Amino acid sequence: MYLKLKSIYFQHFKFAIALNLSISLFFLMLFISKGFDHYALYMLTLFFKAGGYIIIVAIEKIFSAKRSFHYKNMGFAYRKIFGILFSIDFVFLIIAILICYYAGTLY
Amino acid sequence: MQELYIDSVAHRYGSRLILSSVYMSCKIGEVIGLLGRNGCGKSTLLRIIFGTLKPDYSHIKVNGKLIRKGYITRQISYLPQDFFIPDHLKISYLVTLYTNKHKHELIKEPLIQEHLNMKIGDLSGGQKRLIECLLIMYSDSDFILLDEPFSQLAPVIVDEIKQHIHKLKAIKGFIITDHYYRQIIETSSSIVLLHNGCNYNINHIDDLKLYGYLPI
Repeated sequence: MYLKLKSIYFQHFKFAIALNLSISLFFLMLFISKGFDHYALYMLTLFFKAGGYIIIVAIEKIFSAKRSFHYKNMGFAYRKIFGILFSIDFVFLIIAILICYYAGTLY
Repeated sequence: MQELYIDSVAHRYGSRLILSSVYMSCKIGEVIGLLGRNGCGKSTLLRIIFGTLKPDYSHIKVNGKLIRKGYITRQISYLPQDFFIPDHLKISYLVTLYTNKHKHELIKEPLIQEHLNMKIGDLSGGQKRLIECLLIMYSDSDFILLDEPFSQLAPVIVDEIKQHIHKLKAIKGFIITDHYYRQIIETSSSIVLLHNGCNYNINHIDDLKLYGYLPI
């Protein structure tokens, strides 16, 4: 099951992973340069992350709906595929922000 | 005994009632042929069983366990009417992805062996359809739903699919629908006709005329 899920992500969701990672890294750089005490920056991050997720879901549903049967024959629905992908991405961003914040307070 | 049990399936598109109280059961070793006119709900029924379409009401059990979405159990596989496997995937990769228990049997198939390192998108329409069909049939699922597997295929490929169904029916249950009713009759152990939203068991070809599926 893990191998199937891994193959789905690396065969079909490379763009989704790259887009989410780029948004995360961009805002991480902004946090590092502007500081971690800007409330608006957190809101902006959430807004752009949500935007990224919506774009990815829309692209998949509009242009690649046929391959949903390919995923479902392996036992995975879009809800699970996107749920896992977005959770990992969001948790990664939070952990990265926390690490940068604590690294900043130490030095 | 392993069984796919479908009861009280009801579904409507807008105000049009497509399925009403459809009952069916498929055991391992059985091949159920599903016939019906265009728009009578054959594909709808298969999609409800597989779990990609939410019905108004359904009561579906796999091996006695109530299920809502067939694909989540991984005991049901479904071949849709259209090509569904992304073109850029290699056949060798697809074989490892779809099959586990019957992998060695599938790899021995001449079509698979010849094109093992090719992308599925590089094959002809008929070859692509046959490979999709083989991947679904040789998957680890116990119940296989085939939606128009014979359509647009050369007689020799149709014959090949029928041979595979015959070989695998000892260990799997099949529900097949197609407009090539003669092929369905030859392949199936029992025939069900969908008519006016209900299902009727067909014991003789004359029954198909009686319900208006075949011209008198």
